[in-house]
Amino acid sequence: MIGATMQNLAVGAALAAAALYLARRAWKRVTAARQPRSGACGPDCGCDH
Amino acid sequence: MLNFWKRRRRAVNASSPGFNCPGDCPLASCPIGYCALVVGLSCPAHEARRLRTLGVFEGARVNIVDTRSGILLDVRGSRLALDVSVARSIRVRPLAA
Amino acid sequence: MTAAAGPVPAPPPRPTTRPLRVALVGNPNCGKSTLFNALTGRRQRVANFPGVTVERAEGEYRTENGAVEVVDLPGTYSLSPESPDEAIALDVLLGRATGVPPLDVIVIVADAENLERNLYLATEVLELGRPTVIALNRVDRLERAGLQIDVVELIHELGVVVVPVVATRGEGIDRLRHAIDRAVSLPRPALALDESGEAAAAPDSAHAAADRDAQRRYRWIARVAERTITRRAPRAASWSDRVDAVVLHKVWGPLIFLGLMLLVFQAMFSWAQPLADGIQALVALTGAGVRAAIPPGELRSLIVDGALGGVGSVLVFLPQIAILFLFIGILEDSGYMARAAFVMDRYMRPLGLHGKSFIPLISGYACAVPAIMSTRTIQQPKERLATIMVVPLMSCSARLPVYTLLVAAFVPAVAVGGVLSLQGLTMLGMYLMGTVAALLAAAVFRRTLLRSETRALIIELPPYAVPSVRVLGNSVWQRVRLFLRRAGTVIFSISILLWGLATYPRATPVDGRPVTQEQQLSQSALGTLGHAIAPAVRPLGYDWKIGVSMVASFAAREVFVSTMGTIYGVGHEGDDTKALGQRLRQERDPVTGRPAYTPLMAIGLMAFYVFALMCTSTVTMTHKETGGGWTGARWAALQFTYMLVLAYGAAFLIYHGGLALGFGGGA
Repeated sequence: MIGATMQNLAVGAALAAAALYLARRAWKRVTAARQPRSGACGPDCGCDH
Repeated sequence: MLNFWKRRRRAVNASSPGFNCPGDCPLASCPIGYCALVVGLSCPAHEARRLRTLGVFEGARVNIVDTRSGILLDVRGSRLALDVSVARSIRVRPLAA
Repeated sequence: MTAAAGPVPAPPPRPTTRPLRVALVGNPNCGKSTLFNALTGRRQRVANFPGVTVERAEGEYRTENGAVEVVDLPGTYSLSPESPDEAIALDVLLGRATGVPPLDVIVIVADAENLERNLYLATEVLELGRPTVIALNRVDRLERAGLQIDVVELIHELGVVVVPVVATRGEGIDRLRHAIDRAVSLPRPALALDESGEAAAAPDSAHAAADRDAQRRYRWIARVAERTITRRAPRAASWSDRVDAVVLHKVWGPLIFLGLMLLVFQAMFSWAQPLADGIQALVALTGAGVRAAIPPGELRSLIVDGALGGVGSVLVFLPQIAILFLFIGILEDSGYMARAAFVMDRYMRPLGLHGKSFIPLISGYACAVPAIMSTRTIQQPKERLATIMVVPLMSCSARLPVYTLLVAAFVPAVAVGGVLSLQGLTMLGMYLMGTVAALLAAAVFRRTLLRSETRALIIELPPYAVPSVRVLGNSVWQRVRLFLRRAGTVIFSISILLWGLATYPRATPVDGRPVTQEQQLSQSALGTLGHAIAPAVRPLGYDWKIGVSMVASFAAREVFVSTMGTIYGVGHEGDDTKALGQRLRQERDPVTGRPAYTPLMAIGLMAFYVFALMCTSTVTMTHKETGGGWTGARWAALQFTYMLVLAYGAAFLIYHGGLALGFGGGA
């Protein structure tokens, strides 16, 4: 049985984690765009290396 | 489809005797089935360079595989497709059908 | 060719601590990528079209002497760079590419069936004076082609080790590995073409020198060929030529191409349906499971309405994406793509594009990001730029979820002419709209900002081949995996966040009556944002819910669907078995009671997604490929803006034109 408080806590944690993940991803992309890498691939190009 | 193929064969045979080309002529006017010796490239330099690296150089032998939609060449076993404007700028000496 | 410069100092002997660096270089279609796979065991995309390996692929294998790192260079016909990917190959070979450590051994991959032309590049590479091994690939086909190659004589002539291999069957790979290991300690190749003094002595013009250089190489190659190659029988017209006679035909060619495209779209829509239904059922089942395990509350709503609603609504499109990539893979690997480029050249020319621009455009149906990368095979810079600018107008797989959702919800499943459905035709219409817009936009760019002469079409047609099931399966799997990863990370996170925005702050009850879902959504943070955006999308006929989804989808198009999924998940607690499309159809305007979404709006919305560049990955790639820095930023900004203007304009015209014509009614 999960109490209402526990549920609220879990929801808060999930929301924070999602926001953090997206922010970190956006930040990584900005810094990657500033320093061009030697490889041809961007983070999302699908070639996976 | 089969009829189409047969018609094509006839067209080739019909055109061959009429083809008369003393000396050099543009590749574009060579009929299907002929073998030709490349004698000169008069296209812009970058195109000429591209052609040479692909095996179409002065002294190379090419086979004309198809001329009805662009030019299809057999260059030492590889198939090369050219548009007509390039084929006009390649001067060849036809050898034999 | 300037690479023929003086002697290169010999590198120090191989230190045991550092891995050996090896590069594979060769003509397009010589089986280089297949050999790369055979050597390293690392799987990588192999296709039959010249220049598809524009990305650098790296792999590794181990021998008793230590690790060997292999880099697969883009296919190139010569070392005088004519296109960006050839320039990459040259830079790596000369050790001046940024971020690539210098090479220890160069492996030239040569197609045995086509040795003379492959030797052209080989002479240039050998003149670099680096440790080199030649892998003579496809020796199994020599017999059938009526050829015989004297490998021992070839080794004598070239002065380097030549290893016959059959990359597709893995034959000769061990010997090749052995030869690579030993190449460092062997004497450097010292190729001396005859008359080599002549080119250096005549500095009249660069072009004349290049011409003489090519002739000098071919004379030398002809001499080598005479000593090493025996031709038993002249080549007869192959069945490949017979196929080409039809496929390249003036009338049949384009018709066959159109027919193939129609087949692809039809398959995408009808074959995928049972699989999509299966995934839908699975998502619903998971939702029911969560519901049973967790008591009602915030967390349950987050998981069921937020995460499952959002991710589930996108996952449904996995089968279609797999089918699209399967077909594109088959067309590429069978050798048809190069033919399509040749056939379509005639139609591309009036638009100011090259036949080769056609392949990036077609790849754009799958994803604009690799499509923009594949423009590197286009040599003329302005043709290339124009192609990059219009590629994102081709409807990519990320738009599929949006189209499918709206088509399934608002276009009746009526059969047209027996075989085709109205839904399939609508989909085809969307793809056609994007394609026509791309071609027109290219024509405009080539007549204004990017004016230049169109280059002649010179294209190698690879032999037809039966696509390998393993390679096809692998390439489809790569795409599916990428899609799943996105669904599991980005879309998952966005869904959770959106759920939060749609749930908080909690609405306050008015007059003691319980808060309806509609009120809750409207008063939430997402609702507030939506109402702020509403004036911008009102002229297009959309409500604030679509407005919010549109804004969210600027990160990636498929987020539109997951956002709608989340919004309607929140609004309809308890009936997640009902598909999103059905909910959209049943949605009523709270004021008038008429259907909130009409087929006309759906068409307008699809048109918006046809034109709008809502994909951060594409923007990043355009920026990188158009020169980076400020130049790239300007092109990327121009691309984004013109596409947004087109999108808004098209949606506006369709909506108001439709209203004026009396198509405003409900479904």
